[in-house]
Amino acid sequence: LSELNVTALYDAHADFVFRTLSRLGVESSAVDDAVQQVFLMLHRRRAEFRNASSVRTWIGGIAIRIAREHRRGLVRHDARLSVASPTAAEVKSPDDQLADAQSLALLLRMLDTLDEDQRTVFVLTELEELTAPEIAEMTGVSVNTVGSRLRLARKHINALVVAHRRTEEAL
Amino acid sequence: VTDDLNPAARGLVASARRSGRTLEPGRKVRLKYAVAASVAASSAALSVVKLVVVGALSAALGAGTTLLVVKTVNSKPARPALPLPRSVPSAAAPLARPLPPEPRPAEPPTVERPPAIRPAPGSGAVLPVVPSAPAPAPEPATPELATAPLRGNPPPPATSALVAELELLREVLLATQAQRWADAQRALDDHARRFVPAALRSEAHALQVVVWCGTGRVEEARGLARELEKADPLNPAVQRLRGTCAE
Repeated sequence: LSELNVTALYDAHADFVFRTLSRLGVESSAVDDAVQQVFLMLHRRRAEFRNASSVRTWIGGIAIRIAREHRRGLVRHDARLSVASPTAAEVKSPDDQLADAQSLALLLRMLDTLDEDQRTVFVLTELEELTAPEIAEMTGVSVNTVGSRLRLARKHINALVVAHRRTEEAL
Repeated sequence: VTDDLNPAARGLVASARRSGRTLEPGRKVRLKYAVAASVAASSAALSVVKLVVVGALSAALGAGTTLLVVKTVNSKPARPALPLPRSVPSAAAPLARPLPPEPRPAEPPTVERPPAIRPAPGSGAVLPVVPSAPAPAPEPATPELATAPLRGNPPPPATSALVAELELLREVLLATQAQRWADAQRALDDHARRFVPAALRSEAHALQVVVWCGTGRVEEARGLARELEKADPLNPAVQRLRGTCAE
């Protein structure tokens, strides 16, 4: 992978990296830096790329690591809503898009309460629709572990959604 | 995998999945420059990479709080980048000492992609791109700026040349912010004479537009702005010209 290819990879995968970082809890103010870090690390480690992996899986693995570093290193702000606040474009969009943005905001708040490993598996499975083997390769754990984490994450989110519904109904 | 989501959670996830799927186009382009510059900066061939006069000029030309940074690979002390003052020279700014009009032959510019906004954090020391440096000795103004060849990509400039070019454009920037138009023009002429081809041509030309706006040379400013808009439409410094007399 040459420098030129890094640019091409950016074109192909920047949105995926952006989504992954955002949904794994990187603060909105730090996402751009994190995106850069992902592609810089990708460049530095290009010699480690094995053709047996898909490029997307490889990039996803790097994004997960960068997101973890950010989550561990950052000073958490109280207003976690800022991570998921709808963008201006989304606010101006039709109602359904606004509703989707609000759903994402709500889901991200719920994800904040998840264990980091469970969150990673949940995001990659449910939002990125990756397969368990892909996630296993990205995260360096077995497929069984992926399944176990996903199961726990789903259980947690199910409970939160039910609680949220009840709260809404009570109000 | 067992233990699926319940219908309510499934609906929430499906809705969330549709949101925020892509970067906004402008942000994506800016980030691409940043990635490219970070990659270039990390290569052994470059010890110093100029990054971001674009950001400086963006701030100077109107909006934004982009920091000016220059990244020095393998440098040790990391100092915080300095935010630029945000004064905005524009057509509405009072004219200082108008410069005599000079003929500026228009040449078709080439597309020159700007450098990154800033380097990836952790990839090296970050230094202000606005270093404190003694101003170069003033030289007689010449109309060489616009006649400098715009075509072709300049070869990678040496580190010292990059730093010198950045320092000179910083001088222009500070002069325009203080509405010292004659000083700004002198520095721009100096830039055109000393840096051929210049690594930061679009940025220098954007500053030239600002200076011309400030000195009442509106038509020339508009002409150069049109060329820049055509040649380097994605350059943030060029985009910021939309708020000036050249719009």
